[in-house]
Amino acid sequence: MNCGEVRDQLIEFYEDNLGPLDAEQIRIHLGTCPGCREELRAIEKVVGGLKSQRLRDPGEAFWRNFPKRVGEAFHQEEKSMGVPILPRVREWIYGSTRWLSFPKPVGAAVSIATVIVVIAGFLFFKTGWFGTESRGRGEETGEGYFEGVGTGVYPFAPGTLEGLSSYQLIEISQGLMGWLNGMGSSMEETFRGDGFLEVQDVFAQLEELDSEELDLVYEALKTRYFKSTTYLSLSIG
Amino acid sequence: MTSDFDLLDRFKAGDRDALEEIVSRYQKAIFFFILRMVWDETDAADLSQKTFINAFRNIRGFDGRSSFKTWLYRIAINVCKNHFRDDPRRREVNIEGMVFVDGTNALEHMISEEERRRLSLALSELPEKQRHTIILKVYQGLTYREIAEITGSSEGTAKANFHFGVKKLRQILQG
Repeated sequence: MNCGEVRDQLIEFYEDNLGPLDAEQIRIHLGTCPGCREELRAIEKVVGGLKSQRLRDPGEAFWRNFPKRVGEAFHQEEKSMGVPILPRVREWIYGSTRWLSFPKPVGAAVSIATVIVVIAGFLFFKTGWFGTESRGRGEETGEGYFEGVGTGVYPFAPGTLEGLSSYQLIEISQGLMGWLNGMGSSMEETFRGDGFLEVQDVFAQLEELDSEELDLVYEALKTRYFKSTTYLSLSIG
Repeated sequence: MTSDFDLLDRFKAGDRDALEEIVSRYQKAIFFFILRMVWDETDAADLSQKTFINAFRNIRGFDGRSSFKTWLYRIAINVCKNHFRDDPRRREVNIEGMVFVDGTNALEHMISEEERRRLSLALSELPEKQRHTIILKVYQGLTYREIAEITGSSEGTAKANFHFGVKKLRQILQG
């Protein structure tokens, strides 16, 4: 081994990450090369210097109380937000999700279908499509809100993402949701407790992402959910 | 010891104690990791809480392909990113009084007090991925594979980030 090859591997050598043969070769080289020994000492100084630094411990009382504090905050939040419908539906479909990797094409399709069915059910009920006397707010006000699934803007916010169908919006949001889950963002922030999409919220999330993260969302949605990028260029691009 | 997956299953089934058990298991790792990013104990406590709450909120999104531990670190990184994005002034690091030297450690004699201070500041100024990698490797004792899972890169990239990060710290230390 020459000096260049040895120096390339010195950090790994110091961290004990090399195989026995490589490590032995480096040891032999170090025995005869003062320059590389000096190089190793410099690495030891940096990594050793970092390792020697400890942080002040907040104390036993803090550690004892912290899990309770998190538990209370979580339950408080759960109470105020209500339990979202979607995770319940998903769990009902899947059972334990530990071994499932979501989103998967089939899982995503089932979830999308579930959301559509919930929205459709709501619209049917509100518009009296089940033959009840209720005719829905649209007919009462004459504003035509409930002309049919996917044709009216409700429950999506008017004026946002014009040109996209409800189905497309659900797909975008579903894809985004799966991605945000990986980021640790809240599912409830994307899906409200009543099961309806709040498109403003979804896209508010998008606005918070930096360009690198947006690229990831864009790629994930493009490759997993869309053959064409038209929808996305309308909203993200 | 009960596995993470068993605890998570109990939590999903509504067992409140399981939540606290999970937090107890990872609170120190997450708190000190975040503390090394934000250098403020109050913020570190708040952001650690946020990390766990985000994890529990999204527990059904955890698919078990990675370990729960690496998933938590990933969430912690994102929580910290949002923290700095909300107020970029928070990036100004003040380590005075936060760090002390482990007197039982032979490594303490390798480096002077001034060098130690410069090293801490230099670490906080490294590019994000190099900084995360060094903290996860040196202080959290994670493997490159685990770091790669957390940072969303390959094992080779994690090694390269560590390598270049240490190299850069050396240059800074040598002045």
